[in-house]
Amino acid sequence: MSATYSGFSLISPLPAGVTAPSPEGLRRGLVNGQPSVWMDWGSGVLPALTTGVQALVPTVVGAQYVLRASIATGSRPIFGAARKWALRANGIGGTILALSQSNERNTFAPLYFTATKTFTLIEVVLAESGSGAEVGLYNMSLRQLNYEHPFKLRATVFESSLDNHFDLACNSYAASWHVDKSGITKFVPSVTAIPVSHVFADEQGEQFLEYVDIEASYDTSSIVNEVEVTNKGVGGDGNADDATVIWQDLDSIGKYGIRRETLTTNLNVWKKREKSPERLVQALTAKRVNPRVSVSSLVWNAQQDIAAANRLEVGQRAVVRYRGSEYDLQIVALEHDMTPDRWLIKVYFNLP
Amino acid sequence: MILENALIGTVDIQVPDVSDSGFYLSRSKLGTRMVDNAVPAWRTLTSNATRVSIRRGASARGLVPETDVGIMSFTLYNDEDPLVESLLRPGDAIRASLTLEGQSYPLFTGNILDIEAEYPLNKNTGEERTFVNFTAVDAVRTHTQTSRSGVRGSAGGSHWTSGMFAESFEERIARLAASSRAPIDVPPLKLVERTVWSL
Repeated sequence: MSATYSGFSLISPLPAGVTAPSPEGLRRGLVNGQPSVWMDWGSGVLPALTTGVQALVPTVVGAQYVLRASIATGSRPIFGAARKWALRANGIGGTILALSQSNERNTFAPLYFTATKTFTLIEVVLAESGSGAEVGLYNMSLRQLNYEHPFKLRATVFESSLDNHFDLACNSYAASWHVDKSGITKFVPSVTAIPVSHVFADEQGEQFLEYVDIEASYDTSSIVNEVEVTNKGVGGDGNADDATVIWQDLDSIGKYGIRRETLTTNLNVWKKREKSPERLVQALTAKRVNPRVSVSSLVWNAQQDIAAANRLEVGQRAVVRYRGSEYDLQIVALEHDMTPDRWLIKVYFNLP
Repeated sequence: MILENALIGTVDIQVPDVSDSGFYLSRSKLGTRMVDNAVPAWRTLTSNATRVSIRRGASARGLVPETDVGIMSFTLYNDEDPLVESLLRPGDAIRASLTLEGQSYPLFTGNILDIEAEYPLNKNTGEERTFVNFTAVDAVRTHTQTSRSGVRGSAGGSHWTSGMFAESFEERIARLAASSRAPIDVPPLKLVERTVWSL
């Protein structure tokens, strides 16, 4: 049984005639302040593909991993020495890295693989035989690749059409979906996550799209201060297990009376770190508990700029300037009205 | 200042051109349209259109927008009379396209839903005219016609209450896309790395 250095051991015993400062020529060290394992062998020919170090690392079968490592050469002259190395996982190799000078620092290309066993053998192996070597491994890590789940959607037995399923998923994420002008169904993340595409204004300017009509209002009917949230789910028996929560803003209710809306979500709310429907509702209603001026639609003459008309799309974020104020809005619908020589586009916005 | 020009040549309504060739499987004389993959060229209908309107997107009625079926409707004057000459049928591909500096861009893509012809009589002259109203819909209608019973993610979590069969938004859309009969641009899954071993 050979000794291990930070989990590493020799792949096969050193061939006769190879000199080493220690029985196996392995030692621990530091490179750039990071822990490293050095292979230090003197004269004697080192055979390819069996010279090197290996470590056994626990892995999950079927999971994807990426193996990364950096390699350094020592101060000894490298001429004639073993200097082509490869990174391998369970015998499957990545690219070969050739070292060219003393005191070099270099990094292997990351090796991506899917684990097939509960333990994966990772190796750094000599790819071309040489005589003598002084190389150190550092910055070496095995990372599991995961899909990001800031919060998840719960399984559901909701029986409906596909568009309602899209709405359900989007409601839970404050996202939106539409079919674009070329007929492809697209999903848009929450509007704050995308850049502003257009600026509509009631003043003249090269950078503005000058609208010819606008529907803006100060209207208490847009207030929302009570939301009935139905969170769809499925119970352990396989039947629907929907939970209903009432969210209220008592301050707003006291001032304006109850203004109720409903929202159907599909959040998995069991884990503490996952976003609860209440927080989602708070984000959706943040600007709607009090009345204020809102822009619901505007009309723009497309012949001002046909290229800009071509760039307009549902789901985009737009800024509307109106009577000295700016409104940051999301386009929810586009309506084209064309006669033989007039093309007006009515742009509808989501109530923020 | 906005200069308004005639829109013909800039905005066009187009259908696959099936009239110029001898025989099209599914289109010509057999009356069925099962083979619908090859779209050879597009034919423009706009020259006899009196008005075109297109609406796409969602309605912002409640707390969150709800996506509606996109509709394009237009009227042709003395053209494509279904009783006389037209090969157009409900279900046919149709698009509105925008020509900009010689390039063609889509404005609406969908399928014909309904064709309705009216024959008003001009009583002064005795002339019979034909107005054909077309209604086309986009892929949202296809989604509304596709039923889906429940969604369940791949197993994960030890118990129902700890998120068994839960999944991310991107995974959910990818799963639903498998039921779709219209193309879907599935948002890419986001990968993160978690270190499980290091030197």
